Amino acid sequence: MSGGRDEGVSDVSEEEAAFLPSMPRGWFMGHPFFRWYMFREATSVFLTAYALDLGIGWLCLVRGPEAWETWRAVHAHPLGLAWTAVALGFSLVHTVTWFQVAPKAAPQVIRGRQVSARLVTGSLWALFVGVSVAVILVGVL
Amino acid sequence: MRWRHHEPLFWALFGAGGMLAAVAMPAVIVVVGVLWPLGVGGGSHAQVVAVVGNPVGRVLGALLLSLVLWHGAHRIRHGMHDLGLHPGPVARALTYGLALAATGGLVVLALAL
Repeated sequence: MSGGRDEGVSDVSEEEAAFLPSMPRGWFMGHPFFRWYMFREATSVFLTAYALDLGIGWLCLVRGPEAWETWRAVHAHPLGLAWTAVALGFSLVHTVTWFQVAPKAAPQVIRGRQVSARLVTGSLWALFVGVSVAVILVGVL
Repeated sequence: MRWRHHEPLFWALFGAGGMLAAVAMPAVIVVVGVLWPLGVGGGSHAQVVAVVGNPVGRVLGALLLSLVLWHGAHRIRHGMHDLGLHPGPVARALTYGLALAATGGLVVLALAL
């Protein structure tokens, strides 16, 4: 675990700072559960970056065929494909972990009957397969 | 009276974006980021405009990308606590502000296509 406390790095007020616990910087590296937690949270950085990338693609699409072909060529380049592969990997980690915790956010009882975690997760995976097939079919039509 | 409890609104956007991302993002990344650039089953400007430019494509596309950005803004802002960076007004402006600006941009792009 790395040392170093976190004073002086915040932009909260002094009153708020008084209530903030001080933690070692690398606190999550000591336990597999916390490492997995931070990895899971990190998926959002890649989802955000790729969503912005797709937004740039949309902008190119609006600007015309020439701009769109440039965006396409960048993403067909081996480095572009590697970037997409990394983003796809994190996106799938997000899907797996999101469906794992979804039963905790879903209603526990519907019409007096217990809703099992397996039913919630199973339904979401069925939805995932259906949506994925639809998106790919529409995309390559 | 000042509305102090903004967290439920941002959590709802985080949840909606997280669900849409979980269900649709992998397939969208495969189609737009791999198949179209490689020219598998289309990818030319005219073909992509036909898919994304119809009313359904515009609405779903802008909805997906903007909600994923709200999801990311919320999760990154909260994740900053875990890294010892305690987010205040500046971090809020950079995360939620970016998501808000991108949402506006996507609406403009959806209308312009």
